[in-house]
Amino acid sequence: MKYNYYPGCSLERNAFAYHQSTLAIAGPLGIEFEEIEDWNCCGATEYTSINLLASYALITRNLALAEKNADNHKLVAPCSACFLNLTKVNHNLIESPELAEKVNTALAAGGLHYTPGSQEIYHLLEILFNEVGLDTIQTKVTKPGSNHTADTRKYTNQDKNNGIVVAFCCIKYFLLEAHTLFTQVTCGCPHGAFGANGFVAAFTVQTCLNIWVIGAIHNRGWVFYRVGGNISHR
Amino acid sequence: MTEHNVFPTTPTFMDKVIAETPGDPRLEMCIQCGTCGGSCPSGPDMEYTPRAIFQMIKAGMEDKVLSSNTPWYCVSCYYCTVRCPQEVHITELMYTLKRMAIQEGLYRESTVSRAPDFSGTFIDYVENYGRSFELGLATRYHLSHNPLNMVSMASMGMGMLIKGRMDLIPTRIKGLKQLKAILAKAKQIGGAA
Repeated sequence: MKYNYYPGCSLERNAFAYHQSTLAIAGPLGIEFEEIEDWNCCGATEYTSINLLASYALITRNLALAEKNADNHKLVAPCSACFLNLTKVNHNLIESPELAEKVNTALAAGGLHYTPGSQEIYHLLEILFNEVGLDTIQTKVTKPGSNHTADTRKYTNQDKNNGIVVAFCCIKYFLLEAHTLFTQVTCGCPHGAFGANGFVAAFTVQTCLNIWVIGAIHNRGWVFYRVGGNISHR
Repeated sequence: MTEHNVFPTTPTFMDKVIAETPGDPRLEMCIQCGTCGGSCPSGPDMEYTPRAIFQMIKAGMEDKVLSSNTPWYCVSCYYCTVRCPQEVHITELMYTLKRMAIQEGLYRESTVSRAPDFSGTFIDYVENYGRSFELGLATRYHLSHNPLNMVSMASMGMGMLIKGRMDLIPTRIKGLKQLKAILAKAKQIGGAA
C-alpha cells in the first residue's frame, strides 16, 4: 500500500516521536509512505483566521505537489490539524468550482495546478483501521499488552532503549504525547483526543470502542499512550 | 446566496457572514439549543457563547459581535461542530468572524485585541520560510506584548530545545519563491481578507 505522506511542521519537531512512530510501524504493516516533495506548512488555524484565499492557496500547493506523483492518489496526514485543513480545502474546492478557479489562478502564479478531488485525504487512523485492518495489526504485535486499559507506560520505561517497542492496547480514545514539558500544542494529539476536526471525531466516536491502536517507542525520547478517559471530559 | 430574505434587500450582517464562509455554514439552521456553548472548552471565558453570537448575528448586532472576544477564544477543537444537532459549521463561522473583525478593525475594541497579532506572527514565518517556527513565534509575540511572560516560557523552551523538539533557526522550503508568488496572487484576487 503506497501513500503520499504529509507530515506537517509539528511532526518534524515537537511531535517527532509521533513521526518516528508512524514511520516505524509503516514497514511491518506493509505501508509505504512517500513524503510530498518540498511541502509547506498548512497554516494551522492561524492563516484562515486572517486571509481565506491565501490560506486555501497555501494548503492547495501541497495538494498540487502531491498530485504530481501520479502513482499515488491517496494522501495520509497523521496530524489532525493538517488532515483537517487538507480535507476541508479539498472538499470545498470540489463543492465550489468558482473557489477552485480562484485558487488555481493563484497557484498558476507558481506554475502549479490542482484538480479538486484528485487526492483522497486520509488520517493515519483511517489507514490503520480501514485499510490495514485490525487482524493484520494483531498478527504484527511483538509485545502484547493486556486487552483493556493497559498501562503501557511501564513498557516504555523498561524498553525505551530497545529501539522500537510495540505496545498494544484497547482504548476509548488515545493521546499521543511527547515526553516534554510541552504538552498542549503537540501535533494533533491533544486535539485528537476529542477530535481536532469533525472527521476524526466522528471516526473516533464511531469506532473508538473497539479500535486497536499500536504504537512504537523510539529511544530518542518516547511516546506513551494515555489510556481510558471519557470523550466528554469537559 | 441565502434564502431567508423574502424580499430582496441590502445584504444583512447575517448574509455577509454566510457569504464570507466557504461552503454552506448552515447558520440559519441554528435552533438555539446551546449544545455548542455547553460543549465549548472556552465557553466560560467567552463574552457570548456561540449560541448567543448566532442570535446576535441574526439580530444584526454587527459591532457587538465583531468586537466581542468570542471568536478569539475559539481554539478550533471542533467539539461544537461535531455535537451540533443542526450541523452548523460553528468553527468555520468563528474563522469568518475573526476575519471580519480584522477587516473592520473592531478586534481592537475587544478584550483580546492582541490575539490577531499571534496569528499574524505565526503566518509571517509561514510566508517567509514556508514552515512554522515556534521559537520565533513565542519570542516575537511575547516580547512585543508581555516580556515578563518570557521568564515563565523560558524553562519550557529550554526543555524543548534539550529534547530536540524545537529548532533554533527556521526551516526554509526550496520553493519559497514559488510559494510567495502564489500567496501574493491569492491576496491580489481575494483582497485583504
